[in-house]
Amino acid sequence: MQRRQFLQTGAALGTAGVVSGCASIGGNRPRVVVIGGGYAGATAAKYLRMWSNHSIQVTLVEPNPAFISCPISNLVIGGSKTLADITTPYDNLVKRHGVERVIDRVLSVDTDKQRVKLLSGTELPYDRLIVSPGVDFMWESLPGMNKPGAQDQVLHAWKAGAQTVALRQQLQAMPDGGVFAMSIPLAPYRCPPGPYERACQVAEYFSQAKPKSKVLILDANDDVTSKGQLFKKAWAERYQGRVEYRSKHRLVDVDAAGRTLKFEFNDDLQADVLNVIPPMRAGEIAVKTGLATANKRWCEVDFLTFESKAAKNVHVLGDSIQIAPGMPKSGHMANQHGKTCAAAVVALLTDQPVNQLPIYNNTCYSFVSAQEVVHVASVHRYDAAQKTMLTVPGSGGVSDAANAMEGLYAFAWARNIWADTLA
Amino acid sequence: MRTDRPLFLRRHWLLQACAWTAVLPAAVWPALVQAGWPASEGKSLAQVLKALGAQSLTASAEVRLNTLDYAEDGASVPVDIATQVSGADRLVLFVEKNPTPLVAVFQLTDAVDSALTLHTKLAQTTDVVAVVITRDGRALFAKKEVKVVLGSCGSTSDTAEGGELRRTTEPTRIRAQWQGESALVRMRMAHVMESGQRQNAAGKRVPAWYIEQVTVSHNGKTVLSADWGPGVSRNPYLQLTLKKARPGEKFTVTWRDNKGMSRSDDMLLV
Repeated sequence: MQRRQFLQTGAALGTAGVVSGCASIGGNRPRVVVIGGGYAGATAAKYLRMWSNHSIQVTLVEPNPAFISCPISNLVIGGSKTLADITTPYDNLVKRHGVERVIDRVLSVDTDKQRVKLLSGTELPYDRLIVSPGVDFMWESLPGMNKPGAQDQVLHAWKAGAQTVALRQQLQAMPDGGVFAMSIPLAPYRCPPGPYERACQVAEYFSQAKPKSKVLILDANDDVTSKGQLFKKAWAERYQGRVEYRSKHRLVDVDAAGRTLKFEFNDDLQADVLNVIPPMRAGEIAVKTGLATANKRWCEVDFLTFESKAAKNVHVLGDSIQIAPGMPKSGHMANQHGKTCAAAVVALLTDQPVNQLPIYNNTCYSFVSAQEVVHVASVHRYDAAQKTMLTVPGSGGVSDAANAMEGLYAFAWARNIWADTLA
Repeated sequence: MRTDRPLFLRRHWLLQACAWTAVLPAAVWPALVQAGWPASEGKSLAQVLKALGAQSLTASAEVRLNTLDYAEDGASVPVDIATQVSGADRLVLFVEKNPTPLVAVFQLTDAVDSALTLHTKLAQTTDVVAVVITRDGRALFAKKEVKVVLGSCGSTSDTAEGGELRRTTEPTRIRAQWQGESALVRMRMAHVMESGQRQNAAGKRVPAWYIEQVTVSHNGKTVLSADWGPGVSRNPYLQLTLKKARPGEKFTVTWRDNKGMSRSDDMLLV
């Protein structure tokens, strides 16, 4: 029955191209469009279907053919995992849960008429829209990166996929004795400990395959932004002499052809392989739709429902939002946004009360080698007085030291969250 | 075509408490500051301005204050202040909910644009107020609320204790961008800027240690001087525009902290 309904919807879209009128009037079933099938959007799509007993129509718009996980992707760069290991198809969202999947890009959103226009020309009306486009890069802050070919030479590898593999290939092609230089932007950026984990992964690859090579970390921040003592210990002991950390190095430009980084105050630096993690803002469609009201970068939301503060019936999730205190831009957190929002949207569309006390957690594992891991965890609860999520005092914590047991936990975490999001 | 090159020739630094008075005219420093910076604690903006000699306080569209809506980390928030008001004499930066609300008082000269950027500490969500005091004693202000939201994916590492003295011996870094006849100059001083409010891991209060006087000169002539409080960010960042400058000219940044240490760095504009 669910499958047939899905097929019918799909057929209507395919032939008519434009679905006219308000979906909730035409089909009697409320319709939610989800933009972006990452940790937040895919989770929201699945749980909207499950928790509404399939009474809400859900369309997921995502241009990529499969889900590729950013968590664990540094291990692809280090060489202990492959891209296939971190790739999950979207099939189960469609087959098991009846999510209608559209492989396309969003051109624009009309928040007054409540319609999403796709690149192909198709228009999707919605009763509620969920915008979860992740991050986009602020290339305008690094003029040299806008020259032709620069972004193919100097990689970010901060969206898992082709660039992850390409950066691995650049490291493999680098002669022994070379320097891998990674630039980290000022916080906030996606996955605070990610760059430091990447440094460990590259250092481990070098210690096995290119022992004369070096990792140079150039951080715009005053200090390591996450798990500082644990990472510094790994660099000082496990990768002694192989990793150098330099703080207060804010990147202002890149000479891609000359493989040179240019800093606000420090001297220029040339290296064999550059990895520029650029400053970030909310995904382009969120900015274009006028949702990024905080510092013109991030989207302010009501933390009970994740409804945008800038547009009615539009919800924003994941890395695009202006965070609450202590809330990282992480895959786990995005998954939690997805469920909280799904529950709220189901309630709103079925005239049920919205949960007034959301509570959820964050877990983040970082691999300091191919097996050993450190974690940080926290619990976040809604505070009615401050109307935001706050970290529960005394909850969570950080590993005492890197260990192999947490390596097993980390892989289990990944399998579980991929299943929770997509299976 | 924008150029952005390091400019340096020689650097020296002084560890002399007494060197400062010779460098700066004493008349620059307002009574409030001479009485000790924490004198602004618990005081309203109006009281502070009165102590600074201003007679009236008016909101004005001629004062431009640009800063973040949200600060992910209140430890270092860029604040831009600019004005076209004629007779602008001093710029004051005030952060209402900081333990010491008065952050900085800048003494302008004709050699610099009335437009500065300073990185500032915000202890919590607060109004930030920029005030322009004119030569005839008017005080015009603009204000903006900044929401402070500490972001996190785990604890940041603490500043290693004992490493602090070494930091103050690092040179001030200076860079310039030529904009026709004028030069946008950015400075980053190396200083811990301890507020005196922070507790160390053992629960002991870390004593206040911050730069309290800064002077910037161009070809030996003072173009900007400032009184700072503990509300200026660690490794202070200051940006100004010299109205007229040429390559080869000397640019000097001198500071003195509340422990009497000072240093001075000379650079050649290139």
